[in-house]
Amino acid sequence: MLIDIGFILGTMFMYATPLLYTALGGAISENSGVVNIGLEGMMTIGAFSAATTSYFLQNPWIGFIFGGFAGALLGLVHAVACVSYRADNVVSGIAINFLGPGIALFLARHFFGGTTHTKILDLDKKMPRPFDGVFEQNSFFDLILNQYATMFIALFLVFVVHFVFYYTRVGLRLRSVGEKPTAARTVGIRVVLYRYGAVIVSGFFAGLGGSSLSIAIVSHFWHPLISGQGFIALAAMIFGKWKPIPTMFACLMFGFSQGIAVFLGRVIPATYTELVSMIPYALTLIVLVLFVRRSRAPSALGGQVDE
Amino acid sequence: MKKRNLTRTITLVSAILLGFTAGGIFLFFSGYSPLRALEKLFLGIFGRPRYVIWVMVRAVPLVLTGLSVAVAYKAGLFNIGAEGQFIIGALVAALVGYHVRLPMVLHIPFVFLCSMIGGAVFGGIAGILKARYGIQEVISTILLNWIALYSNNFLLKFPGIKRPDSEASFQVRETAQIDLFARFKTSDSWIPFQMENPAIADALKASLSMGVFVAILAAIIVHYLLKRTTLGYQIRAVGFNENASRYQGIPVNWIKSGSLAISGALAGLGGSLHVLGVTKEVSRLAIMEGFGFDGISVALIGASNPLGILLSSFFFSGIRYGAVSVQRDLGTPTEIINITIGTIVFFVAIPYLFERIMLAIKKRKEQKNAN
Repeated sequence: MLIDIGFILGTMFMYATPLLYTALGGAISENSGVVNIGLEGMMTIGAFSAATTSYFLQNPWIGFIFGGFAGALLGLVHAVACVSYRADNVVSGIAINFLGPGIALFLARHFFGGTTHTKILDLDKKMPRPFDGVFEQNSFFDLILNQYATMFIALFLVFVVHFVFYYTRVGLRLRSVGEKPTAARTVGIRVVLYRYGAVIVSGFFAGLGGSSLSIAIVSHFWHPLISGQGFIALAAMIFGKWKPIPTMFACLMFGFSQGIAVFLGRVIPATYTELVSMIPYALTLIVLVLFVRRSRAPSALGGQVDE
Repeated sequence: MKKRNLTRTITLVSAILLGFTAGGIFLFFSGYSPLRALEKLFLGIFGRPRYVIWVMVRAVPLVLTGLSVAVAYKAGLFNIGAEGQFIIGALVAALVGYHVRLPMVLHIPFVFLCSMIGGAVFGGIAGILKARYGIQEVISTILLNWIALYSNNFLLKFPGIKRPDSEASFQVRETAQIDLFARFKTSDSWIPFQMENPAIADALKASLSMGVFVAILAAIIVHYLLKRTTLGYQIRAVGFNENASRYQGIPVNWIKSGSLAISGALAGLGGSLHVLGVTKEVSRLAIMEGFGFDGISVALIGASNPLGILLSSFFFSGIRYGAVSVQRDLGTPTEIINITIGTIVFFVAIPYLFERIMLAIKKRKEQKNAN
């Protein structure tokens, strides 16, 4: 019984990790007033870049950071459109979702001899697991805590972003830019600069989210790796009312229901596999209905500013 | 108004040119000739009468999902759920098309109706969640897409629904199939006809279905709905300014849920047309097929205007279909298409850029004249 709970919680942390990075990225962008529906594309390019650099340089950390930068680059593209050229944020995001996978698969073919997936990393060249071997194998604590380093970094970043948002000048200004850009500008805040920064950082985070999939949870990149996780992260962020810590709980809840689904998948007959796979999505919807009353987005979300 | 249309046209044309340029650059750097690829693409779409018909047949689902996204967009809602509503519509069509026995004149409309109801219910759920609980349609429709996908796969496991020894449903009965000329093509007069009219016969080789005409009709109806009815006016008013609409006495929440239901019905009809006209069955889906997601881009490129959507879905379906023969003949990577589409959508998003450029050109002209 205890082992089962450990298994479910461990699976929860594993599934939540890429969502945590990406949803935090979403929160950063949207708190500055720019809708970022392109998270999916940014994750994809991040996942590809991380897997590729890790493979060629044989170092997951460089790959991880590189995945972030690749996401940031797409973030920059999104920022140019949304901040400088008054793009409809949603439309630009949709474009990013075409460009990310398009470029990733194109480059994959280029680097890996015509196939659209990257080569599999050796086990010791993947993200390390800091608690590997500390606990007895498959014991309760081992199942929960023996996670990739990326998971712990993600949780740490939640609190970093929370701190920056609510306890620093930069965070206050960022949120003011997302709430009332005209007022922010009146007091001398450089709205455009803040928005550019936020969207680029958001891409960086989404890139890390993709990396945490391709070089930790699995060991290579291939086309359906991301399939919809960027959108789920977006949902988690809205569920978390655009705030870092509630967003973390939303991601963990989604991970938890995945954990339950994976656990049930092992014990019930195969006929019901699809019903079990549906659990995370259905449960999220039910929780939304039961617990979330109207959540308020940053007021200037999706709006434009004149410089 | 005129000026806005001019900007829009310039934006669209430039976006398409830039999209092809981006695709060309990627092709060039991977060692292919962009011009030859463009030529092949063109021939792959217009080279034979049957190619054009195939492009039209393949555009049908996109017209419907495009219209679906557009109706919601007019009400200020973003329907990512066309994908799921399409899946439900297709599933319902396969079930009703096989399990219900009716004469053809009744069977086909009945299948359409059922699929539309299925899609409308599915879209309506998102609508009610939005209106009653304030849950963003972006989240709920993403989740509902997955629920639709897994429901499809779950139901396809049961005997009576699943065709034995397959991963698919039973094929829809002949009374529910909407191909045109299917019987003619297997008849005795087909061979002499081919001899006499090679061009028409070639066109008929593509499985042209009633779907093409239904799609055009749907676009006309949506145009009429949005522009000529009270409901359409209210939908646009809500999308334009929610608060003003509320003061005017428009039941904003009802209009929002309603527009998502209409949106769902359109996507559901798309699924129905695809099943009755092309696949005849639904199969297990390993991943989302993307008709709904492509519908988003179709609606955006077509400026959420029904006529624009007809054109943009032909365009969309054309480059996807033409790309297959480019890939076959030249061996180019297919991802170029996504890069091209992405670039087009990206530039469609920023008419402001082109406004600025036009303004700059105008200023320069004035300066020249002044000198």
